Order: sequence, then C-alpha cells, then structure tokens
Amino acid sequence: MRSSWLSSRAVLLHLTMILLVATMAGLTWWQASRALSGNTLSYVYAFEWPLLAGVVVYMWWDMLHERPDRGGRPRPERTAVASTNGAAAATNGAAASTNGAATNTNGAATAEAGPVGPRYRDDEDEELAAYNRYLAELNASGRRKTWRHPT
Amino acid sequence: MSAALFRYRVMAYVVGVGLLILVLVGVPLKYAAGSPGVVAVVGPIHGILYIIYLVTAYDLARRGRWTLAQMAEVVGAGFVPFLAFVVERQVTRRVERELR
Repeated sequence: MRSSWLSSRAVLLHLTMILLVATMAGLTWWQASRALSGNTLSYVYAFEWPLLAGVVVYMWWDMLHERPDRGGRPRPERTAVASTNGAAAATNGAAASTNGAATNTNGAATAEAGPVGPRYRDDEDEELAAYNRYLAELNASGRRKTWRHPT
Repeated sequence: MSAALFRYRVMAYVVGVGLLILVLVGVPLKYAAGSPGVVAVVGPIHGILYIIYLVTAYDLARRGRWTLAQMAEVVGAGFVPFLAFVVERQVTRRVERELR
C-alpha cells in the first residue's frame, strides 16, 4: 500500500497534480480579484477553475488507487486457471444436464465455456440462453466481469 | 465501451467547435473590434463543457487502460485549436481497433 504511493508512476502523478492544482489556485485567485473589481466574466471563471481543480484531484486519487487486478487485460495465469475450471465444470454440466435440472446455475453457465463445446438449452428461455452464451463468451476470453470494464 | 467512446466523441466535437468560435471569432471581436459579447457568452460555457469533456475522456481512458502520455494528449487537445478533431480521430481509430 505504502509503496504504491512512492512508485515512479505515483510520484509523477503527485507532481502533476500539485503543479496543476497550484496553477489553478493561482488562476482562481487572479479571476476572483478581477471579479471583485467589477469584471462579471471573471466572476464565472472564479468558480470554474476550482471545479477543474477538483476534477484533477479526483483523477489523481482514482489513478493512485487503480489496481491492475481490477479488470482490464487478462493475466495469462488467470486465463489458464479459468480454462481448467471450465473443463472441470463442463463435466459437471454434462452430469447436470442428464439430471435435467437447474441449468441456470453458475456451474452450468461456466460449463458452456468448456472445451467440450457449447451446450445450451435453447428451448428453456431465449433470453436466458442468450445470457448464458454471453457468459460463456466472457469466460472463454478470460476477461473478468466487472462493472468498470463491461466490454 | 462503445457508449463511452460515443460520449467522448460528442464532447470532443463540442469542445473543438467551442474553442474555434472563442479563438477565431470571440477574441478578435473583443480585442480588435472592442465588442466582448461573444467571449462573455462562449467563454464560461466553453469552460464548463471542457470540464465535462475531461470527465468523458477520463472515463474512456480508464476503460481502455491508456498510458499517461495518451491521457495527456487528450487533455491538451482541449487547449490547442483544431487539435481536438485530430486527436478525436486517432482515439476513435485506436479504441475501435481494440474493440475488435
């Protein structure tokens, strides 16, 4: 945690943020003093610069707390684990389909991504089948399902 | 992702056109012709729109996992006239290539 604040990328972020916020604070001060001496246009700018500085601080904070394991490109070891899980779940899925029960559980959804090939019950519900296909596609591509990286 | 790209593209065009109006029409009118009307209206609006543009660009950057240099390019595009259109083309081509 501590080292993530001192990495070269983090230091670059700190410096950029401090430089930008200091500049914007100066511009706010300048516009505010112009506004107080009767310049109505500066009155608006005196509020816009702090707003922009706020966005900069938010970006700085957000980028500092960005973790590579939160979505994004799949790491190779994760993809490997996912595919073996898929294979194991595929046999489970086959067993479950002979039982003919509960195909919309997680086990069945991951089973579709197994090397055996897609195994859908399209007769059940078109929308559910489409969603299962989508889940299988996601699992096959090894990408994580997070709200931040929906593609 | 494609929705984020669309939001970014809309804001890139709006901010690009806004900056052109400000620099090519507003500033000459204010300082050469002495009529500050265009700057007084377009100036503050452009300021707010630029902040919105920045937020949409940052949203797209997070989803696409851009480098800091790529982000700086997009931020700078809001300050240089005409550059917003060029950068918008580059970004769209790159994001669409990654989506495929």
